[in-house]
Amino acid sequence: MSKYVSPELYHKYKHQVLEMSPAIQYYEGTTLQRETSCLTDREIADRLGLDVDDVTEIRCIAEIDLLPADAWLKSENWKREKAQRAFGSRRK
Amino acid sequence: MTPEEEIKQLGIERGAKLVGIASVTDINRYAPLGHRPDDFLIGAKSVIVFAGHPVTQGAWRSPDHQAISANLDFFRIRGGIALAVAKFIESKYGYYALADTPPPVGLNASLSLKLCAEMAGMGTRSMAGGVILNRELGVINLAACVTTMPLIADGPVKEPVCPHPSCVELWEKRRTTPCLEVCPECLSGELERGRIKWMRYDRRVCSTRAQNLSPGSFQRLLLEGINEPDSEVRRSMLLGSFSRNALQAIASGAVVGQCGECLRNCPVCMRARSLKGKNAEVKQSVGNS
Repeated sequence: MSKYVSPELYHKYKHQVLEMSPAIQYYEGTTLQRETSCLTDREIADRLGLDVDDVTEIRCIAEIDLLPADAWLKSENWKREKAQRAFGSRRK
Repeated sequence: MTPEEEIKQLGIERGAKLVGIASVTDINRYAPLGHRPDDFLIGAKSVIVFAGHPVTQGAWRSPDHQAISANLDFFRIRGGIALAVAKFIESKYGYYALADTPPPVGLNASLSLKLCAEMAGMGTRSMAGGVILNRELGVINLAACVTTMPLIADGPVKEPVCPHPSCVELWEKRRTTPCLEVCPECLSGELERGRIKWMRYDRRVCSTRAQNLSPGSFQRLLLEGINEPDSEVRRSMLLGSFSRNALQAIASGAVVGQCGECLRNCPVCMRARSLKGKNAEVKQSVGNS
């Protein structure tokens, strides 16, 4: 790893970096649009005037940190329900 | 046999369902700097893309959601196929080859295999998060071998696989498609005149499903556990089944492809998953023997 990012830098840029990253992907037709989001860490760093290693660290932390803590548990239950529902009528 | 045919045949013999070739020039028209094949192999000219089924077809017929992650198919063999082809190119033709590119950093891949597959004519982007749909195989899992060997590329397919005509009909009646209907948290979009007009994919939400048991979920659980002041709650969080399953998934390396709900009712994938035709062929050949 390159370095630890400072808490100040992280909190200042976490939302902005995540929004500019491929966290949200927008296509026109089947062509990925990359004007304001879906940018690489290097492109985000250039636009925000940050060091690319800092952007990478901020993005990696924000990808996990900015989701609700129980998001993964809820997702597991969601998948369980979907799979059971797909065969529900057959199993009754 | 041409070098292209020979390489493709080796990929198929090793277990790929489909092999395509993309030119680095085509890929670089879309891939940003730092994520291009020649960022990883100096002088790269071609990318050979291998595809297979993400899971066994039976996994889709299980009421247990964990059958998907327990039955990963091409994911388990793809590295070996790409390595065999890379070594074959180096030993037989004397061109440099990579069997893989560096691992993702966070959720960002080093090289977009979806883009490589598109440029290799293996399918087109779908409304389901932009995953590549192949007309015969449905959703495909991918691997790639990057090489300095100049090869004749297959080039992108002209007619989009998605949307399927039945999805167009559904859209005209109800303004939805099977994938949009099942996963509105991850997916949104519109069809227009039988084509995808626009689509939006939320990778943040998708990652909690498709990478449900993964380093990301375990890291977060660990952080929450460390910060939990009540030792009884902390024990439950860290010693419970979810954290154990996450660790098991990490240990086995099967930390991706754990959800496919958006594709469960996709007509292209449903047709590809059906074994009825194959079953009939086998019955007929047994009957004839």
